[in-house]
Amino acid sequence: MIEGVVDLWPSELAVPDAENAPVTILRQQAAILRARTANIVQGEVATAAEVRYAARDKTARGTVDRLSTVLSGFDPNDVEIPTGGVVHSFYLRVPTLSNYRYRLLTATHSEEAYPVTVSYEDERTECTNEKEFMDRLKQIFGNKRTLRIIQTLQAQATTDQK
Amino acid sequence: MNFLLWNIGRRPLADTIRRLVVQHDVDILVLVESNIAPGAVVQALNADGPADFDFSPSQCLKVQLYHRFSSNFVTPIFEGHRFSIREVSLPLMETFLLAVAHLPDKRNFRDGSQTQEAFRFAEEIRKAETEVGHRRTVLVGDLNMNPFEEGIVGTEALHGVMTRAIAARGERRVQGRLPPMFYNPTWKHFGAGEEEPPGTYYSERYEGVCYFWNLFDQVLIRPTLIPFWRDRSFRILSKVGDDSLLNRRGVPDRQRYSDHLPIVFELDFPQGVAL
Repeated sequence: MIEGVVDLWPSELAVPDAENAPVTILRQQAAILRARTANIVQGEVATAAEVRYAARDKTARGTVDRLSTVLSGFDPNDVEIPTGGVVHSFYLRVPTLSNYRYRLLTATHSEEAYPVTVSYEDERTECTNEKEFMDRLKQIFGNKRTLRIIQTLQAQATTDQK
Repeated sequence: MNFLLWNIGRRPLADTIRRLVVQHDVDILVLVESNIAPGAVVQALNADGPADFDFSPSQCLKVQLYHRFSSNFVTPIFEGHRFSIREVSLPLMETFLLAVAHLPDKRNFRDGSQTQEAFRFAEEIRKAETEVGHRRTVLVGDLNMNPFEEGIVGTEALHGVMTRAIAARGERRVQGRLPPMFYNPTWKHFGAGEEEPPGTYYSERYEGVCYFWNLFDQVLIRPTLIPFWRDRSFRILSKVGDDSLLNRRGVPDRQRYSDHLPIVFELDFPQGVAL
């Protein structure tokens, strides 16, 4: 506290225990994956600001079209507009295979943690709370394709060189 | 922090490595001439305990680096064909440079060629030190030269000297240049062997000059790190558990293990203290 300065913030600023943010859950699962594969396949979570591209944005369309006419080489697809959301990418990383990385899924949400949209292959699923998010992750982790990828990576990493 | 270096001579020794790492509580493992898939080594190292051990991928395929912390803490600074220089930045600890190497061997290269490679290695270490802005450097490797050879001792080469007192000078003016020194604590163990083997590699060739035992596997540290060197911790290992790494003639058992013996040592890096 700074003496003589009035604190205008409410008392409930601390993170509530009740609900874990998607990034927390993803990091926990990344740590578990590490342990379960003896550190061969590591989960890695990278977070970035979510963007949409101007070319697909109705409100930006007019400006983008005008710019296209006056600037040679201008590509509306290059223009990124921050949406205010964040996207967490969950990678499978294998240091012993020259740091090979495979993006397994992404989880996108706005300034608030939930709802969160999970993208896995071509499917997008909206999860409105922590339980739905955990259930969706369990489905993805248990998916035959996911298992096959992890098993293949482990096999490649542990096969001796000739 | 405990280090172990071993040239395993392309032998399938993952389980022996695991036993050594457990026995000597190793934090950083440097393997030379390893054909074992790095994943298989990581799997072996993490077989019994928490999955702490990780591997740092490198463009230098002649030396493999494993450590009891995430590879996120290890940054490549320079990668060569025979050596790699990386910066290790652990939380609450001063960063340090770790230079690992497998320099050309005597079977296929003349002394002069070996010395040339040492020149290049030394030059890249000096450049890396300039780049990161410090000289907290640990050099570990199978250098294929004995501590007294030109490639190790020469001022334009690694400039490794035999005593702490000389190394503490830091650098030495020769021909107008001031190359920095390394302290080579390995030197005093050459031929010392009552309680340990007199070297790490044995070679008995039919020629006039023969050293029999050689100490090719070495650690050199910059003088800044001398206060953290634990002299008694350095050992040339001849056993893993109760099993001898030597054969009946008392030289490295290349049939069962490797033609080189491993070395271990400790650097007691202070936590959160500026060096």
